[in-house]
Amino acid sequence: MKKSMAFTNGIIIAFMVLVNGMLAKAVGNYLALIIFFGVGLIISAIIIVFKKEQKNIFTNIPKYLLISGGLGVVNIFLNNVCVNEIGVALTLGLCLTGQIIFSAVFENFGFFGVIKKKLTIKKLPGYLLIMIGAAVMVVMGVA
Amino acid sequence: MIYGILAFITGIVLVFTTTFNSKIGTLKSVSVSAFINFLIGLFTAGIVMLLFYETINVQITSGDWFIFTGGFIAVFIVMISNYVIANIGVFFATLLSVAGQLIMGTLIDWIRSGVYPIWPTVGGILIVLGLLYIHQVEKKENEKGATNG
Repeated sequence: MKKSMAFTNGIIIAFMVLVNGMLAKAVGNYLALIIFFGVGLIISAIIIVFKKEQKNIFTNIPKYLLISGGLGVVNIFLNNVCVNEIGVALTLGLCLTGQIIFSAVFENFGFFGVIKKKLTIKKLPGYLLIMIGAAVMVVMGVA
Repeated sequence: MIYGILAFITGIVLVFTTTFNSKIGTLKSVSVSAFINFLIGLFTAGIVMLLFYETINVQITSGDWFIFTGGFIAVFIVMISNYVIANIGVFFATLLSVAGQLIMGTLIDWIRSGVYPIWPTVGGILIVLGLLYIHQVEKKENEKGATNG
């Protein structure tokens, strides 16, 4: 049950990327960002009020963590641009490759307090396979 | 080619956002983390809009209402993935989510273009195989560590 939820989450992500791309096509890249973050803000605000978590929201949060909201804008913007040019499957496939490889880098060095996980030589064939997968997509798919 | 590289860069940026968000999530809660994200995101999007805005012809019909649901869906994706990771672990959560994304992405492109996207499938299978291989190595390394230590 919980495993099928993880799979379903993947399906929903693909659907969201498609929907955002369609919005960007209909209203333009910049207005699409406002709508996406505006709707998300309203929904998450309703949830925290419902869960009574609205007090002291910004206390004790290191300032640099707040940059992730700005980076989120970069994410959605790039996703919207890419989906409309190369489709959902390639956008997600290449985005996932970037995530997998940089997660490994973060874990190897323990950046920002991430739990350290050494990148051993034995794991390299796995990462090589992933990069070949990405190369196949870029060279054959995007062209 | 350029869009492929941009999609890859999106993945790199996502590692930063995921790391930062989960830190806010542990300091506060997942819903507060989502709220802060959308708030700062909206503020940033506003600045971007002021700097680069160009008027375009907005063409929306009433049947297109669902294109506004992205932000709504995003909130639930954050909630679900947090719940799933806590229950089945990062690895299986990632693997199954990757599979779901690639299969659904392929279906969407297939339906929209009428042509089966063969290369994302080949690449996707290689990515999943790579993830399984890394998982096997990690499992063995952990067993070794457990017996040695």
